Amino acid sequence: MTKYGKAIGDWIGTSNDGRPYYLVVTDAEGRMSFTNAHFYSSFQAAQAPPIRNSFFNLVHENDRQQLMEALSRCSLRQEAVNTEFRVRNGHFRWVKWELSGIRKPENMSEQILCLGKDMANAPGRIVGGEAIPSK
Amino acid sequence: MKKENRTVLIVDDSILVMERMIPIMEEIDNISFVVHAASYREGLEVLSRLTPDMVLLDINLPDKSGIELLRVIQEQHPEIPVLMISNHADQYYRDICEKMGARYFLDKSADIDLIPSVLSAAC
Repeated sequence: MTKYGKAIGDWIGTSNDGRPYYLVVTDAEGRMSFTNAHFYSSFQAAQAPPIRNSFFNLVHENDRQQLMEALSRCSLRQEAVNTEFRVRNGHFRWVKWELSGIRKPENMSEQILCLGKDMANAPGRIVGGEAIPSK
Repeated sequence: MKKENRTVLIVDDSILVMERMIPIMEEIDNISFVVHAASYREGLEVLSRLTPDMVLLDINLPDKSGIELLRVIQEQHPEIPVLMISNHADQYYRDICEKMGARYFLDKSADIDLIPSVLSAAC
């Protein structure tokens, strides 16, 4: 574990099944300050300009409450949170997310690390669809 | 007067460097958005969609030399300042990168603490 609360080695590269991770750093209100290339190429490029863009703008309106709750839990209770919500790329894609606080030296959780794994082609998911994911 | 809301692209596959870079970027007021690419291919992909205000570029990338990406940036976006960061900090590489248009060249192991001041000056 690093001082960021998560092994940074997990941030870069691909998962065991070869699918690349999405990586986003936001503040507690969801304003993005950092993404990896995979996320940017997949989602953020559809938005212009990218600067100070809210993560909420990329999330399906029915799923924004989940993101809000996850950010709040990370920020206030300093919990790692696992959740799923849809992110827009022309259509919406289901992504499984793990959110964790980035610890500052004074132990303030001012930023949230969002690590996402695309659920496309995973069992029970409809790629780009509006279906509710199986839990 | 400094421009606000700068975007920086970092092209480097080193986990240790990224671990150092993220807090450095957080401390620079006018940098609002950072995109990380871990390879030449990812760097090209991002550059095809985004025009950053500055690029931090490693020479040693897993799929191709960062010098080759520097050449592409200079051809397509000569206005973007490029800061080369490398462990290959000898004069030979410095000369090549300078000749190819890199604005700055820093030794990754020895000069990383200089990055905030270079970024502040460039941004």
